[in-house]
Amino acid sequence: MGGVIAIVVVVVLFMAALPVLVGLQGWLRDRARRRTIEAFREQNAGVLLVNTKRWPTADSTVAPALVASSTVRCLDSTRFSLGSLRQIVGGEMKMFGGNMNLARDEAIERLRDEARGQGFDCVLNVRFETSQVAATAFEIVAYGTGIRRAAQG
Amino acid sequence: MIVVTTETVPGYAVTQVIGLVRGNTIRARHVGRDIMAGFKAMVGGEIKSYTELLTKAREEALQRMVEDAQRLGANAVVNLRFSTSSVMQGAAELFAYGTAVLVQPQQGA
Repeated sequence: MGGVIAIVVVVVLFMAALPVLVGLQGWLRDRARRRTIEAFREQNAGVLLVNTKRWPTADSTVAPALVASSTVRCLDSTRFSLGSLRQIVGGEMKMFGGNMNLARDEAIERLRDEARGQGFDCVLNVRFETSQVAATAFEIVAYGTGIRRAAQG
Repeated sequence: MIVVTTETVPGYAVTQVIGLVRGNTIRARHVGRDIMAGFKAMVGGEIKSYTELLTKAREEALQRMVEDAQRLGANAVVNLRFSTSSVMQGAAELFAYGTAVLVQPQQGA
């Protein structure tokens, strides 16, 4: 009898702790992602992104090519539920906004990385595409045309 | 801060390109407004409370983009683009992005 009670207690505790653990791991992962993005940003500092069609002061010295990157993201269930509470009263959803920003940071850094890998130092005409791919997941695509600027910036 | 949707600012010359700047906000609808909007959806027409909500949110996204540009020391943003997307049931993301530049008035323009 005592064994059964102990098992029930453990299960109940586990069920209660699960959302907290899920939220915590999501938060920790996001923190790690931010750090990774920072590192990428430093590494890719030489690649400039603009969304104008041409570089105002110079032409490309190599053949331009398409560069693209994407990321599909979702929030963990705990923070998703907490964030969803906003829908009762309306207003800004900071948790989702932050997640979206992070995803876009990620897409941008991947784009710059891609451009750098192909030997470009600038991406022209950068565009973003956002789409909902599942009830809780969205995709962010960033794409543009990679060029190499002439000697002067 | 000059914000334009064209590639260059007429009458100004771009002296330096700073790079991409952006701003976003995600807005949730309001349950009370939802009920009214539900009624409205039966008869069609403009849903004023949503128009107002999204307009305010878009201004906020734009403001954040401008702040980003200011932080980078730009005095103009060219090629501004807006994008709106539904990120989950009942919430919309407003996103504004453009290219931050330094401009100065052209002589004789």
